[in-house]
Amino acid sequence: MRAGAMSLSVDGMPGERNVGRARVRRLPRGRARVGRPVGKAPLPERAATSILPAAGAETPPVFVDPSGVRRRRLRLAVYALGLVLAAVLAAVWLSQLGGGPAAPPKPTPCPAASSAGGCVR
Amino acid sequence: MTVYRSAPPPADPESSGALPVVRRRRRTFRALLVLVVLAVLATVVVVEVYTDAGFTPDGTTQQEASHGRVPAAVHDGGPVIDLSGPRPRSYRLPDRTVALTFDDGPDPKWTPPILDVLARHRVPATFFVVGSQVARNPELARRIVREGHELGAHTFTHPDLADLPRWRRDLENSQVQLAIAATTGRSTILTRPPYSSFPDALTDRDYPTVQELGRQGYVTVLDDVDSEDWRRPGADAIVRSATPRGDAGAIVLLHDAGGDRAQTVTALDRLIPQLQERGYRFTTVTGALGDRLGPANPPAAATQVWRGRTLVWTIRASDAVLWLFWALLIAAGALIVVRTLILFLFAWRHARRRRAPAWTWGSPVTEPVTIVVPAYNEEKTIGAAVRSLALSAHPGVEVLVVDDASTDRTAEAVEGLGLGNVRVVRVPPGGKATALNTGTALARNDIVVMVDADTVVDTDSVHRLVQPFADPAVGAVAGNVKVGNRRGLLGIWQHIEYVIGFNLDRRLYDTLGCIPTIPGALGAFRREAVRNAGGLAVDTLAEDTDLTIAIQRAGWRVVFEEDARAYTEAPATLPQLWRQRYRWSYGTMQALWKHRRALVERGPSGRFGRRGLPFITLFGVLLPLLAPLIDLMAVYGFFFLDRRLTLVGWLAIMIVQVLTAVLAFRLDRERLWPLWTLPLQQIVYRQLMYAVLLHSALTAVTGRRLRWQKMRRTGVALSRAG
Repeated sequence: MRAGAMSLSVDGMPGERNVGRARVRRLPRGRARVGRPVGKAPLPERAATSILPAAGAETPPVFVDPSGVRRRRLRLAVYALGLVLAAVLAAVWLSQLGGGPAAPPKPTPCPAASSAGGCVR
Repeated sequence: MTVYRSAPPPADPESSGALPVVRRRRRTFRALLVLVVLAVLATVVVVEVYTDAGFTPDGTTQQEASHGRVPAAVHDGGPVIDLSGPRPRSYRLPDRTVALTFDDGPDPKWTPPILDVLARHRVPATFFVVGSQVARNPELARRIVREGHELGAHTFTHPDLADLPRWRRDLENSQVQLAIAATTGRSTILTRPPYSSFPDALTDRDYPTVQELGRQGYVTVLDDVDSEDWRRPGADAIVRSATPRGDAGAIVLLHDAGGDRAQTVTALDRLIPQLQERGYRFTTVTGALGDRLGPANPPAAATQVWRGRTLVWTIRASDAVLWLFWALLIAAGALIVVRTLILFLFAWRHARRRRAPAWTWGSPVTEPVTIVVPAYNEEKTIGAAVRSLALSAHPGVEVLVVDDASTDRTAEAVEGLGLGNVRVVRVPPGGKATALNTGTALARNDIVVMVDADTVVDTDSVHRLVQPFADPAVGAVAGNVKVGNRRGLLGIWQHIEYVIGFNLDRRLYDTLGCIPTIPGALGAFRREAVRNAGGLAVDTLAEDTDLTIAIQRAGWRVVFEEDARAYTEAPATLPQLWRQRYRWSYGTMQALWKHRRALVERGPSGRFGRRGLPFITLFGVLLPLLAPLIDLMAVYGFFFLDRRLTLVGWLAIMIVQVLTAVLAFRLDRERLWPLWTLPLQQIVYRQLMYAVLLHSALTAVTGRRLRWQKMRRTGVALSRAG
């Protein structure tokens, strides 16, 4: 760093604006380009056999439960729920259609001494 | 699109599910379970239809005038009829006595103010309640009893009893008794048949039902004075018609439900003091008759209370289920409307912007590309696919076919083409994701295009596909995939779906910066982006969706290039289509779940996760899962609710879909004729898609293993390959 220098670098420092008529190299924008391979490299399939990384071969598939525990528990829970639902359903229909119509309670028998008109039911 | 898995996973030795006995037993259990669920739904429908039977709260419907079989003692007698004994008896109220009776309640809006008025004047009354209303407003029924009023039965759903068969009449009277028992712990000896009025209006048609009630132990309570408040003639008129003549005692008919009862409330507040001034005494029906009837509401038997509770709980549960369905339906409807609006707006803007003459991705991309074609037993189709790719109009195209241990002559078919820029690599069996990883690793160029082996492309597709890479932030590009084999309904339906799904939806996702899937049929990637994403993973069935999400989480942009077209072979039979969609929906769920951490992460991953994942989940998984409700409720509404309204609603959704489809076809410059199959699609294809989605959601929850089979090829799509 040249202290007090008034002139600007001809090459252009990154981040500084070039003034004047100096030749400015554009900074490459974007990602670097990789050219085609030059020379006589062997074609990949003829190249010596090498091991390619197999991505995530050891991770189990998402959602899959290899032990089957989750499935077994869910199956039991669903069967239990089904049983409960069936029982409730049976109770509902039987309670409404079975047992005959619900009528008012039978009136208490009239005392024999009671005069007509006083107790008719 | 290729659906393949080169080798099925080995059978799970731990699972007993492979045993035929176990399988048979489970199938039986599953069928029973489905039956139980259907029975529950049927019960809900029956209960709702039964209890929501609408009625007109009018006083009388005189159809038959003859009353020859009604005994004179009843016809000319008082309004309280007791037919329980050997001789018919009827009673009038003593002079200057009024029993106010209220029919059709309890009603959550109008019963409380009526009870308030009665309490203010310290006047008891008799409420003839409708059982289904009691079940839905138990607290009101309890309040009526608590405040010293009497409860009478007015059937369960307010039908005209004389119209019903014997068993229905019994049910109506029994269930109102049960509803009262469950809510108040009381029973009732009083009943009033709906649409009844004065005793001399009883006809031969009504009389048997009254006799029946008597035999069961009920006292039938008709009325002397009809206030006609159901007509809403104004409070003055109600007061006038509710006032008994002279000093006669009267049972006065009023209503506390069945519409706006404000006039009744006002009239009541005036009628009571007026009559009290004239020396009238207010009482209940049994109170007016001394001890001749006994108590109106003796305690109910325990069995009746329990039967009643079952009834009340059933009604409440059915109401809750139906309410839930309606709520979900409204949510689904709102989502569909929002989605349609967003789609229209964004897709149209997207198309306009991309088609503007000034639009450019940047300077033309002419870098060489490697096209990776994974193949497993694609002998029939791969020749045409590879030829169309190798002849692409782009400088330096290299085609790399990765033969994933095919058992047919796939590799030979490619080699037989004799094209100079095509290489074939044979790899040990590993699945599509591994094959693509191998292809990416062996590619000589930094831009890798992945194409399925059953897909042909236009000459300029590859060139157009890589143009977005002029933008250094773009990491991957999705192509516009079309159905090649559009023969038959299935082909046309899939064509429609692809045009809407790929064109409209992907434009929207592109605008929002969250494309969920680069189709396996045509997509371009920077090798660096694939590397950043960790390559293709084998832990989901939708490796394309997984990779797309991973690339965006790594901070790259993914865009859609509509002009890069590819024609893929869509499944030609229903089972194949089922398997393909199963893989898509299940795989999408897997990918979303796998990347759920993106919701909470920082940096580009979190930015994508919070913007994209909820959106994709909402419109890609939840909305399609809710969609069947639209059809179910349409059927329910058509049969049990307002038929015209239901039809209009269903048609409105249909029109929205047609409009969406037309927009998608216009934007994609497709001919509109296949859209004639759209109405048909609503009743076959859509249901199939629901079933697939439901099935894959169940598989996801249970954690079952899947086996995959390869799609059978016909080679039809490739007739296009020029």
